Amino acid sequence: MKRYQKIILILWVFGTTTILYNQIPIAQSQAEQEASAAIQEADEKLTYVLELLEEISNYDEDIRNLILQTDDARQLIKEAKDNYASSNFTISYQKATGAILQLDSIIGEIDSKIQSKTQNKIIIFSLVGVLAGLGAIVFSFLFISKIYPWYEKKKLEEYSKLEIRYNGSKGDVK
Amino acid sequence: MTREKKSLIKRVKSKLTQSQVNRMISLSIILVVVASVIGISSSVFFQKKPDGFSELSLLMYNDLTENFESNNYPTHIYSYENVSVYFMVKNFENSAKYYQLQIKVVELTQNVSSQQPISAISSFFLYANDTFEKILSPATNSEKKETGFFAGDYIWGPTELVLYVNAEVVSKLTSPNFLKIVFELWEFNTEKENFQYTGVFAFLELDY
Repeated sequence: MKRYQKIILILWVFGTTTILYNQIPIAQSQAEQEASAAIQEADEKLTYVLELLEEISNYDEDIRNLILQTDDARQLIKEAKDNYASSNFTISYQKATGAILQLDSIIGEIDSKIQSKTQNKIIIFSLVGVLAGLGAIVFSFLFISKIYPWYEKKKLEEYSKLEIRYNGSKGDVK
Repeated sequence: MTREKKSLIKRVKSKLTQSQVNRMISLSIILVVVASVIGISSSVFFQKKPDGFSELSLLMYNDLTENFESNNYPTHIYSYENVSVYFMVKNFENSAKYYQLQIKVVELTQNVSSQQPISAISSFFLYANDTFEKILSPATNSEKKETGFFAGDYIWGPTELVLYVNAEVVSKLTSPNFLKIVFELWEFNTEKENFQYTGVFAFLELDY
């Protein structure tokens, strides 16, 4: 009975070792894939942030702080790539996901900034439009009530100074 | 037609012309007002910014004055002794820029152009796997007027750069006793999703 127990123990140890030996490369390959995907995603997000930054016309203090944060995220991506090249896939993945989180927050902030600026622009343009409309109404009112009657009066005055005398024959003007 | 008749027609014509002139004046005033409103609105809302530029400079640190200066550059470099220089990049463009500095060792006779970067065939890339990169804010109008400043969101550097030349570096050169170290400024293009040469460069000529 004891002999069987020993054989079973040896087989168990051998089996476990084989399974673990085969699992390590699988786990490493998975970590490599995850790190690679995370780096790619972070790179894409960085490009998107740069595109958003290019669209901004007014670089105020908030935007300048966001640019500094974007540069920090770029540095994290670089470190992720360096770790990936050194086969430190777990650290690489952590750095890349850190960069993704940071870039997501930057995207959110830039989007809200752009939205509020668009709203401000709409308000300004609406105000200008309303004021221009009011101006046009006032001008029309003035034109109808004051300028046009004055013009007509002046015209009649000028024409009334003319003397038209007809002689006997039809349509002949003297 | 009698003289009187002619004179009357002339007078009538002159009166009509005057009313036409009045109308024309009114129309021109309206046109001027409309043009001014459009002009003022466009200048306020659609301001055209002047073209910007990027600046790259090489500096040396003076231990005595404890300041950076653009002279006393090295003239020699040895395989056993590295040379330190400082580079500085300023963003005077109208938007944020993602810069990259590429450092290439070439023959002394190699021409450097603002149109084309130096090709990889005729040069050796220093720090090829560890490139210098930075994202910079654009300079504000007041910052654009500043001179002699070494710090700010729109400034990268001064950053120390250790230049080295060894057998591997000079392997691509036919006359390695005289060489040129070229610093090229590249910027990230979001449409092409890669770095493009800005045409801005600086170089050092060294004896080896």
